[in-house]
Amino acid sequence: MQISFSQQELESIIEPLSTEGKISIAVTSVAALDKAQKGDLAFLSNLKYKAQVPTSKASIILIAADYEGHPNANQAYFRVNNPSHALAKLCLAIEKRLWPKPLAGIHPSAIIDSSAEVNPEASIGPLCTISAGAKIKKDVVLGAGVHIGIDVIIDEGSILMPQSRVLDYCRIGKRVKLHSGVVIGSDGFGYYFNGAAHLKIPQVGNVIIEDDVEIGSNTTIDRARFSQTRIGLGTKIDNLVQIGHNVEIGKHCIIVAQSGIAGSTILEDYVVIGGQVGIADHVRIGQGTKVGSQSGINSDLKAGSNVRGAPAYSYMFAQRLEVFRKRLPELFERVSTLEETIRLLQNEDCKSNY
Amino acid sequence: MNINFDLKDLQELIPEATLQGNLSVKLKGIASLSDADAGDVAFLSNARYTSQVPQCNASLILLPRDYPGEPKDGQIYMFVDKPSWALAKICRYIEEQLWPKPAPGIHSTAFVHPTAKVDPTASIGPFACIGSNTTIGAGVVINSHTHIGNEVSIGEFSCLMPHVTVHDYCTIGKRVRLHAMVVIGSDGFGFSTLKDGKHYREPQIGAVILEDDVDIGASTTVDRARFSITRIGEGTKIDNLVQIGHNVQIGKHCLIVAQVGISGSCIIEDNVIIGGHSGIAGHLVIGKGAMIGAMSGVNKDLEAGSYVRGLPVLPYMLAQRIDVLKKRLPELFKRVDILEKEIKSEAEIKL
Repeated sequence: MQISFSQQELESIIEPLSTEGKISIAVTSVAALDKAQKGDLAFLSNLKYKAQVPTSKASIILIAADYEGHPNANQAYFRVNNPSHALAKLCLAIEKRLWPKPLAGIHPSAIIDSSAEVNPEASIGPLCTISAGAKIKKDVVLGAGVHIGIDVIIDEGSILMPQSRVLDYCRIGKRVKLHSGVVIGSDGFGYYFNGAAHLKIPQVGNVIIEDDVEIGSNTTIDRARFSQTRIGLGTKIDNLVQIGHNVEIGKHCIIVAQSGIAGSTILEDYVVIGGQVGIADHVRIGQGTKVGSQSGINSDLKAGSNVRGAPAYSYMFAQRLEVFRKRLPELFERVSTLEETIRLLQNEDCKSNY
Repeated sequence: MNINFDLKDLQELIPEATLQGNLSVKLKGIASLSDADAGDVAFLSNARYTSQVPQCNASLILLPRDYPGEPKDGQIYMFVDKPSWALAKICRYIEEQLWPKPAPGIHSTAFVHPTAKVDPTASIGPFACIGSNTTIGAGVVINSHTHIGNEVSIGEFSCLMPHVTVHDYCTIGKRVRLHAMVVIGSDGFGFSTLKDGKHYREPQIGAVILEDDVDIGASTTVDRARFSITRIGEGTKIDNLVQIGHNVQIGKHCLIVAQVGISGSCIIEDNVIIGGHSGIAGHLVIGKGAMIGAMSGVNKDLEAGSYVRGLPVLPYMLAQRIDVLKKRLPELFKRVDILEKEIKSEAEIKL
């Protein structure tokens, strides 16, 4: 990948609050503070790496407005409100060069049902399948091998990466991004046990993905038993997540990799779920709740909760319990010592009674 | 599966073996010690099954050299250094019979971009898709429905199972095996949450490099770097359903068991072993040769050679001890109750 940006170009892309220092060469790549060489742009977002700034060889460093140091010779600081977001602006410009928008039109190897509607400004990649009654709106991009089921609607500007699947009757909003291997609308896991075997309960609902949602690779979202499984506006879901049938996820939530949400659970808006979390079925997670990685949630959580652990406790309490867990051997020793002391006292009492 | 191999084949495969006994039937399969019948090959690797050997009906049993027993009539004992590895050699022989190398060439239903360079000895299966400026090396096997993006390089003799995806600009080394549904180079999970509470996508413009002899299990996902490279080192083996975050650097010859999650920017040094379902928090360094038990949670750097487990991790022996003590918590509460009563009565005596 060949990229090159002058300081002036970078200033117009990143729009820093202020710049300090001047460089004469072009920036040709982005690198971490400690790895950066001349010609690289680096950034300080995680303060863990603050000590690396003064010795960094990067030509440009994106840095918080209140950072106290100053650039070395032949180096410039771009002071910004949020260095990570500032970097994202540059990466967006690079991304546009690396992945130019694919040409509109249908690849000859794609199979489109005669009753499906594909907008002429959509791009349908090789070997896609678009089933009966499906509607593919303007500026949608389907990568290679994408499967679209019966009566599915993919709204404007959504991008479905290669090998993602949207099964029958599901709805995908605007500007949604589905990564490779995603399955939207597989059957919910519902069976009736008649005493001898588990009988299939048909899953006749669908899945609705609202606008600006992003769903990571190989994540699966099951269709509702009836009605909808819903992912709210702007919510971002990482790889290998499992969303059970009839789950309702609110707006602007974050769900990190390998988490599982069991059927009919409700996540209100702005909830953040760490990696490898499990949430039981039919619980309600209140607005803005934060759940730490590897937690297990088995009951409702009030809005604004900050919890962690399996089962989950309030964050600070869980931290404290962990400290005490480490001290269990010490506690057992202390109790043994106490028992011995009491024995001695009792013996002395016996003696003094005689 | 219908397979046939005779004793001569096995002796060629495992020349260092010493034999005892005689064979009465043709060998046709492999079975466990308890299930094996005449015509089967069985093996003793885990000492736990030693007592099953004398009753075993297998026609041939692979045994460690120090096994003291004698074969039944019509049965052969084959003594080797490592029965499990000897079995692997036999399985490789069977594998070659079961899955002969597909004929080279591009299937008529596959789509290969005109600018892609596919070596004439490579095999491209049905409905596979190869993007622009991509290079497919000698002897590579791309199975059906596999998608290879633009500007990708697949090194010689690598094998990609059905429905694998390798995204644009990623590099796959030699003799790499990617199992079904693996996704290499999907976007890293990076968003800036601004004051409006919305999450803004941080473009992920790096790539993924898999070095030679890497094996990746079904449905595992390896995210592309935010910038620079997410790297899996030579000879590392990864199980099914593992998540590797963006910018992670994994060293050489590591083992990562199923459902492990490794958060962004972690550095896993060489020869690390991570047990199933463990999670590693972001930006940590796991030192060379560290071993992490199953279902652990790692929230701080680990020194080289660490042996840990638990949630969060503790040194292995301490974690074991705490597990034992946890079970004894009810007893501890009872002991404290008794202590309290005794102290109370002591106090009464004193008064």
